[in-house]
Amino acid sequence: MLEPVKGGLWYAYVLGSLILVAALLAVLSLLPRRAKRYIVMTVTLLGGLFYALEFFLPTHPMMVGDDPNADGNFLTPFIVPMANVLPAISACAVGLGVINLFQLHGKRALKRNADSINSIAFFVSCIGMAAVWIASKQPQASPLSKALGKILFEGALQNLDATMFSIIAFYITSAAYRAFRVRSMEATLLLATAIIVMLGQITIGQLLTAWIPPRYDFLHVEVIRNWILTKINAPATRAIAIGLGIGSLAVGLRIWLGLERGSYFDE
Amino acid sequence: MSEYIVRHTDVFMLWVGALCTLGLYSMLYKENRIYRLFEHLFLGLSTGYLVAQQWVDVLQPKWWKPMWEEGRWHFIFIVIFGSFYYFIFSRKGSWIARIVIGFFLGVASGQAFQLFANDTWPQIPSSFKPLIPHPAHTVMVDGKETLIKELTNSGALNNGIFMITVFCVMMYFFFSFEQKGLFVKGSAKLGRWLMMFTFGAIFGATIMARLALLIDRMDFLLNEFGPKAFGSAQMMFAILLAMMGLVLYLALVKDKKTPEEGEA
Repeated sequence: MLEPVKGGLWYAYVLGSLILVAALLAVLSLLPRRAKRYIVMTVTLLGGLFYALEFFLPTHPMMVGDDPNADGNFLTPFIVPMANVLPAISACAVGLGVINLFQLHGKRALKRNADSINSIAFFVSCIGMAAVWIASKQPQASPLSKALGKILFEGALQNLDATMFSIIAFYITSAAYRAFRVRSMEATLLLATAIIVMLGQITIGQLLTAWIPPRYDFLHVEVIRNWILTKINAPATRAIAIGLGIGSLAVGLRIWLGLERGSYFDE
Repeated sequence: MSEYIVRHTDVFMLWVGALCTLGLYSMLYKENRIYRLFEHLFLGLSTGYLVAQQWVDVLQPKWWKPMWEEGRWHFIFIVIFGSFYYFIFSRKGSWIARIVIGFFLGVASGQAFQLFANDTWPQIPSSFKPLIPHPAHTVMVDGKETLIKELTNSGALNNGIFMITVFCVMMYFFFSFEQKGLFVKGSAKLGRWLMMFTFGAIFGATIMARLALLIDRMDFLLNEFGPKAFGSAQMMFAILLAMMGLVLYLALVKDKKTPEEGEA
């Protein structure tokens, strides 16, 4: 049944699948709200069941992919097909954001005011970039599409991206100047650490403490910076990561088992 | 025309790059039409690239080719299931969108076990470090001689600081009981102070990363674009100085003539 087919049979199977799913959804739409909620909860449970069972079920030596000495169970060979299918399904969601942007800028473009030109520029650049990039990545791509792809990606997008993020340097500096005041222990520690980390990274900062004799090299700004990053920053980040990991596990378990309450699950 | 573009791709890239860079930097003077135009171009190019990338890197190789070229018709269910997302725009059918969203929430929950076991759990035992200084020596582990490195006094002290930091920061986030008493409250407070080191380090590293991008932009304008467009980096530097002078003039002289908002 799942064997590859060609020609008219392919169209028949695809069309049949579409009709089958449409009919199934039409029937399910007639169910009461409570039953629909159980359907969503069941699909959520099934979605997590594969990875949970693959993790919890006992493993034994088996051939997984090209590795003959791997450990796994009967679900392990399906990890790679799942890793191919799941990104394809989630890639379908990219249209949601595009539709939102098109709705917003479509309305603005039709208003014909001073801002309309910006929304038109959005449409032209969006459609142009998508068309050119797809055309330039095809095996039979023309030299023109490759050249345009390079101009739009390396010439425009990469430069815009780098410039936009470099502008943030000005914003952060300006915001920090206005917001940071050494009024509490916390603010003092934060400000002092930021200054040491920045000075320790640049040559001029390192020159400030270069006169200190080697015997007291632990007072060099780059040594202090390194000590802060490895002995304070690393364990604090690790503690936050451990907390996040435990939290994610707890929330994941609640969602998976349908225990979570809120607008998403209750309506 | 197409041949001209192909032959002069590098020149077009330089001019487009320079225009985009200067167009966005015009924001440093004040919010203006040129900046907004380039901002929208950036948004459009990013969106277009994201859509194209999803097609070229994911949908085409993982869905379209197997289904269309190899005849694996059942791959149609991938896009049928993915199309459930779009029912979110329908009031009556929004529950169908929840099926696919729920499925991915479930998948993420299932993967959370593996993530916890592979990423988080190994960090807990590795946070326990030796605290007693000792010279280098060998020990027998599973019948093999294993070298244990020397632990100096300062190394032991650093290990202690490492463990105290992990403990105190975790204590700060421990809300299962009220944070009362000298030990619990004190360690939570110390945890908050220690986290400030982390936030300061992140803040400093972020500024340095953004400044590195700014230096890269200046390098692009002066050393890549300038010599090819105006013959030398010095000429480009002079043009940039003139532009900065114009901005300063506009900021200092012209803006004085227009009353501030609320003053009129």
